[in-house]
Amino acid sequence: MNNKKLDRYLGLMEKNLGAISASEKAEIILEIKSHVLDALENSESTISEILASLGEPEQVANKYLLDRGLKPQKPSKRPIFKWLTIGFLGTFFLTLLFILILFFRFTPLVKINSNGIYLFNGIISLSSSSSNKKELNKIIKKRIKTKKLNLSDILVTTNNIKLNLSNSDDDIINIDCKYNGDAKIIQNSNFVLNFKNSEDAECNIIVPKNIKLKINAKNGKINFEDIENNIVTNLKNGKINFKDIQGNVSANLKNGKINFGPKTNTMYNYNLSIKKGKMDEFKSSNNPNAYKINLHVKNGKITK
Amino acid sequence: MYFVMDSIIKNWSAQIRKGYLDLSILTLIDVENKIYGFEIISKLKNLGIEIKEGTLYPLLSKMTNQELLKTKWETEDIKGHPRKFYSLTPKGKQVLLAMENKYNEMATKLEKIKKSKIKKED
Repeated sequence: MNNKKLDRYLGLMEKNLGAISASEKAEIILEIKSHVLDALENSESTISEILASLGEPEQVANKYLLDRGLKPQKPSKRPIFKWLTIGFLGTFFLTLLFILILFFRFTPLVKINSNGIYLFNGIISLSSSSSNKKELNKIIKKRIKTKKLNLSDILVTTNNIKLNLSNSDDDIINIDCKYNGDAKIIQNSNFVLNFKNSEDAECNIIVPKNIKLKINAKNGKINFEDIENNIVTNLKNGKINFKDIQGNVSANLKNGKINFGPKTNTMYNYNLSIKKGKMDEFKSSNNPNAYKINLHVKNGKITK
Repeated sequence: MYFVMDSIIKNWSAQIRKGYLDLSILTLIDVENKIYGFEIISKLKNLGIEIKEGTLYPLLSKMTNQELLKTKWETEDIKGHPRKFYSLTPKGKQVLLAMENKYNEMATKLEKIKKSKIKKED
């Protein structure tokens, strides 16, 4: 006798008999089947009615389990509830994590100090200076007599700098700098001004004539104006301006612009190179007394 | 008013039923000597004792595990389907006897309670 409903019913029952041994399960199923067959033979009821009067297969199976002191199997929840729970808990914990991060990143909400007002731990800053630079809170002002020093050269090394160099009429090095961090001044056969341990500096330096100038900086703007010195300068990124120079110049710039304004009635021999960029035309002189101007830019411009 | 009474009686009947059912089934099996599930249901129904099929079979299984009943599968003839026949074990007969005694005891006590009142009024 082939009946889908009966088979389905018995299948569900068997599934829910769980921990009962296989042989006992088989016997139970067989007895229920036998009952159904008897009921069909001896009454007018349909299979559906007979199965209905037996009750839900899960419940009948549970009764067998209970009577043996076994735990009835829980009705299997549809998996969607499991996933909804996971989803909810996951979202909840992610939100919590997000709030914690916000809390640590954006507090203190308001901080006021001498530099300005900072909101949300510095995300919004209303500081007195509009620039991004750290405040230049240190000052060097020095006048050094160089006559007795027998200086060969003046060396300035910096990180970020705004440097103006010009000549003095005497033998005095005049340093007027604003900076942060540390600055070193060494005076022996060469005069060294070292801003390597500071981030930013703004300097006006007046140097005596005819001493070799070596200026090395990472980033910034260097202006040489009206100088009668030989100059060697290396700058990574930025701008170098030469105006009215009476001396040999060797300048290396990685990225940026070199502007060379020749002094009138002065002869220069130009050796210019640029890897990527543009170069203006400079009139070179072959005169042996001409000042040798070597300007090398990797990426950028050389202009008049 | 009757609605409340109805539910009170229903509750009480349900409580009584459980013990009464066990006794009824064991008695029936004892009387018939050998009987299968569907027959038990039919005969109890004819006597006015209602039992759900989904309750009986697990109960028979329990009693078998308690060694009150023993079982045997028999097929009527070549064409028929196998049926599981139940009969009482010696232990089952003892338990049945004890239950009957207990049941009679309860009935007797109930009578005594009624009689005690009549005595008072004498």
